Amino acid sequence: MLPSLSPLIETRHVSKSFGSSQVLNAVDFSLDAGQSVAVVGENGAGKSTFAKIITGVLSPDAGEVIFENEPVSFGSPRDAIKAGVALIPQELAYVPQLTVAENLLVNRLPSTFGFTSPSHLFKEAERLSKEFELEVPVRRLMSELSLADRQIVEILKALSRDSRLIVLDEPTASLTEAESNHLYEILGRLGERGLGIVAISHRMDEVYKFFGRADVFRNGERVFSGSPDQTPRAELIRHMLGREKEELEDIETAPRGAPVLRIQSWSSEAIPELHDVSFEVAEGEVVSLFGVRGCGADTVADGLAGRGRRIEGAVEVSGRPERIFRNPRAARRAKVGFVPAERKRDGLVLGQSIEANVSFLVIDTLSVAGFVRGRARRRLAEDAIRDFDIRARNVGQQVGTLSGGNQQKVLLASRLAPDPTVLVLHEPTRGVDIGARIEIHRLLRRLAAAGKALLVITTDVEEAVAIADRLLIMREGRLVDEMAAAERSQARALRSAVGGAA
Amino acid sequence: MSTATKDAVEPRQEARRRDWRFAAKALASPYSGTTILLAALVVYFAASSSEFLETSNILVILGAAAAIGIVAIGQTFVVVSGGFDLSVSGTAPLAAVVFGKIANDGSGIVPALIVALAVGAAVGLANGLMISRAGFNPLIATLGTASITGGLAFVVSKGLTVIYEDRSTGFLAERSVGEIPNQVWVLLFVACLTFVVLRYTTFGRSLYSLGGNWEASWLAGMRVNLLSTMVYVICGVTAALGGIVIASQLLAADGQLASNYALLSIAAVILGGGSLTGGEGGVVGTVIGVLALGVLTNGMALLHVSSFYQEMATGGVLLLAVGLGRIRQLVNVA
Amino acid sequence: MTKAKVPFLVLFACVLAVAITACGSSGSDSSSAASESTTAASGDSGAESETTSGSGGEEGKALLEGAKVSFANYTDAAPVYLELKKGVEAAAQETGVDLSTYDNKGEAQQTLQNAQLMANSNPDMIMDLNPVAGTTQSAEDLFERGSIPCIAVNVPGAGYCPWIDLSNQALGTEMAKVVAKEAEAKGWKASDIEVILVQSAGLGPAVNSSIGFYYEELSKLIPGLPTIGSFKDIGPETTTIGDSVVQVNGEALRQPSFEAVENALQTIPADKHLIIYSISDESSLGAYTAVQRAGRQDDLLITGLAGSEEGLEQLRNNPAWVAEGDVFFSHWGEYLMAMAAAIMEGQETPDMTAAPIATETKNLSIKGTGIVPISTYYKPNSVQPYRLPPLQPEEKAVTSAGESGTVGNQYLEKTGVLQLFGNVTGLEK
Repeated sequence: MLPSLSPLIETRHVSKSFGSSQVLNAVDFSLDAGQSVAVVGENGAGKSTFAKIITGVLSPDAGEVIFENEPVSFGSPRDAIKAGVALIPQELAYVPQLTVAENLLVNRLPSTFGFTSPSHLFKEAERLSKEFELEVPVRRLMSELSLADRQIVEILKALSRDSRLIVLDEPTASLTEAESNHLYEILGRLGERGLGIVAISHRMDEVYKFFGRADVFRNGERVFSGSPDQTPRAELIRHMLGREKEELEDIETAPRGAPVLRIQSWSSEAIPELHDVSFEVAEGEVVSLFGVRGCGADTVADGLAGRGRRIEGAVEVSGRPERIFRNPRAARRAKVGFVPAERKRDGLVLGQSIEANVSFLVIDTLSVAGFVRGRARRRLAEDAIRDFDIRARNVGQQVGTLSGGNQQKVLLASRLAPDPTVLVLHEPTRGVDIGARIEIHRLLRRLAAAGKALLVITTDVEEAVAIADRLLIMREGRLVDEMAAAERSQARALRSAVGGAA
Repeated sequence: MSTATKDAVEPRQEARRRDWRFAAKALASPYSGTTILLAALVVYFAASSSEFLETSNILVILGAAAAIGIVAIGQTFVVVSGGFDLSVSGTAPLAAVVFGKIANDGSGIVPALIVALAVGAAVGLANGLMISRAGFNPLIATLGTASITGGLAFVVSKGLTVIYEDRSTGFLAERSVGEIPNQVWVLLFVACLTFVVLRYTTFGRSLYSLGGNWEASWLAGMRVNLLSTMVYVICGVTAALGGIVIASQLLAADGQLASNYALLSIAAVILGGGSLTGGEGGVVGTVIGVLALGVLTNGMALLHVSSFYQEMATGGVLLLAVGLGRIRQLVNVA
Repeated sequence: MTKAKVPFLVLFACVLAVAITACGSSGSDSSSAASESTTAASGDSGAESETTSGSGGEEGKALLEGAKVSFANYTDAAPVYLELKKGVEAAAQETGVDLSTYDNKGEAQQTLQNAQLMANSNPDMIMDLNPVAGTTQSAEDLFERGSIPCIAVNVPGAGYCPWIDLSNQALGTEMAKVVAKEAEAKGWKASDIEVILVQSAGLGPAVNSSIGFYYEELSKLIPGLPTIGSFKDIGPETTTIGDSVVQVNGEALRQPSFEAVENALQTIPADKHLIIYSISDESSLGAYTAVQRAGRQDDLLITGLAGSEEGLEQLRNNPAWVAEGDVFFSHWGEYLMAMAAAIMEGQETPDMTAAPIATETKNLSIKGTGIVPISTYYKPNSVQPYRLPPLQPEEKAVTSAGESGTVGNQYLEKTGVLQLFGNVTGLEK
């Protein structure tokens, strides 16, 4: 393939502001065909906005976008797609009730004079699948596919539109390592065919493993671009934060208190299954429960949340035997707090203020005769902002306008408000930028030091290892390994989680 | 568990799973609940009343179902695309009144029909623009339109009933082929046309996309505003047609016509597998839903059930059918 | 949780308090409306009307001249009530009344709201057509609190407002007489007859009792039809009587009546003669169309009730339409004005003031009843009556609420108002 003489896509001085906040400031960027770049940066750095501008979802206030040597002005995603640029958003954009084939060919159904037919559709979808060497089950409903497979359908969709540039927003956020590898392998192949790829990612490991170039965005500007091979992580992170990343201190393992949460012989036939899982969490300790997707850790999480999973077994809180929680109320009554993984959907009321969200669970204790004591509520929120270092204008700010990390902190504060004996956290730093991540981890350690028992259920091995006093590994529904603080290692954790050489 | 017992357990679990899947498939179609209901009602009424299955009665059922059927089919377009249209209760009488007035003036039936249907289209256009361009909530927008068109029907008719002076004005309710009233043929025609459009045209398929995930469709470059407007236009035209059909049966049009058609048509679409969030539903299901409701009304009348209980029964049927649908959903998920 | 319930109780208490204050304050002192009358008052106010005054034209007119009257119509959406309203407006003009009109829209909430508005405006007389029998008490309480005289039109009052209404007993019985005679003339036997009664369940006995009166009489005159103990035996829940009678709910509207009768016909063997009775013209028209579509209009005797344009046309041109219960809605206005004057004069009113009614036929008449040919009140091709039935002396009868009481309208003569219009038989100018 002849090297191209001019970049595939170029932006010159692109700026964008929403109201009074300047989200992008004179960003210059260029990418050649066949090149792939990882775009990294803290939340709020402007990465998503940038992605949306070059794919036509948003229009820039100033600056130019030049695609394949022509200045372009995308008024809508339709224009961008026609030009050859496709966006695969983080939440994926598909129609669950329709088949894979219909999703692949959305808005481009094969037709004669406007008439189409299912068999025609499937044939065309299979042809595309073969052409781009991406196998997808064209007849199945999208809702039946795993998240990873849906992602692949989305990519095929973008490719089949003759896209020369694909922009992916957090493509592997919800994938296991194996699935992510598979994805990058595909993207690599496509890169060889001349496709340009821009991927926004929070996962340092992947950036270093799969990308030849990493661009750092900070505060709306592109501040760095370089090859990961030649850039040590610390430097990259420094560009992202504008300061040195503070390493998480070594864990001082305080002496373990009494076990306050005991999971005894949990078994479940619902998928993912559980087979006789037992462990305990003591006062003052952080236990990480780690495993790849489908290992059963999610089931344990749901069981502790009271989400009505059909689990058999026993649970003991502070020595009191309980029935497995039938619903979240039962869990709360047993003084087991739960921080859900999907904060936007399951944990926060985005349209409400910080104040409202923080006091969510304890509103009764803040009320007299059914009327809420406003001052008590406000104080609770103010304390939370201070203790958790939540960056917000005031307690009245809408939670939906906060960054991911700050939202997560609000969620954490709300779940701590009822002062639970045990706090269970499910994916506590998903979708959270590095700076906030470190803060949250530090917070969790502090809580443990103050005597709380914490159970962190996560698929992020870095996280699982970084904060644990004890690290438990699950695989295929069973507990397969346990590491004390001194023995923690990401390599061993992964090995035990996937079963075999990492 | 020893491997021996494990093997013994596995086939049993496997068998149980197979049974679930079979049951799930049997209840697979989205309107299976309603079909079962329709069948049950037919069996019950046939057994309880000797007149139920007589040809004349079946024709009465079909004839009565035609108007609401036509309106419900138009509503199907809108519900599939993720919206709903409450203004049909106002558009139907308005079109019926306009049709009557023009036909009475001697301008001819065909021009009258065209104008009346155009009125329906205009109402639909107004709805579509408000909802897609101005971003109005479909509930509020179509509720407002319903009041306006309904009121307009009274204004045009000056509060009086518009009699269709010539018998031929009500041609849609006459019998041209055997004993079957024309409105049944119209219903059949509209149903077939809609079936083809929703299943075999790109326009129809994109409606499912639109209703299933508006955002994804927009990102994929679909002309979401245009599509959204078009479905309301279609619904407006069918509402107009439905109103004219009712008036043709009565040979009179007044503002009170079709006053309960808004909720009734949406109920029929939901019975037919539609979802208020969009992306589901279809003509076959809607027609079955309409028939179920029609059979129920007719059957209860044949059995001389008091009108108060009739209302309760209609509500009960709706809940039952939707409940059956929920069971199907849960079985599928398991 | 009891703690959570407390704020609701407090809220409820607040709302209640506000509501009570609001209602209370509307009973402002009404300067006695009647005192607006007249310097020229000849008779003593409050005296019983014993003697008939010869000319009375000036008295009645004087009382009404400039009087503020509020009139709330049942609903402006139905043609018959629209006619009623137009008649009231015309009568107001003729008598010099200052009229304000309201629309109750056929629903209880609107009616109460209008009642509030009318009471607040403090008129000299309120005329209210209350569509829902149950709410009359609340509306009348408002009027009573304001000491505003009122007339309950068409629907019985709750005790404070005198009541004017068409007599269901008279109409129902008379129409049954006509139908029985016609059936006899055709040689119909009871065993071959099926009766379809089309009620409007939601309108209550004040409207539907005419069905009871009708059938009670019919079953007496056509031996062999299943009999009933009294008119009260037919209620909203009744769906069949023996094998010969079916009652359906037509909601007083054309489309529902059409559909109900269409379904009912399926249960009636094709060789049966049909007799259909309904409580309104709209209903009868819908029912007739259903019969027509089934091709059975030649074996039918049907009647209407209202005297609407369409009803009259059917009476004249449709062989199956043998009687029309005419209520002269378009002329109630003059009777209302007369009644208003009577009340303002201080006359006592009967339990039910009889509104003008007639049972019109093609050319049948039966002495001693209100059954007359249509030509008695209408010129050919006209839908406006040129004459109205004579006034009736008060006598004991069954009111349209189903109770015994005095029914009549002779007392209106004294006011002299009807004489202004000159169209009442016996009171021509």
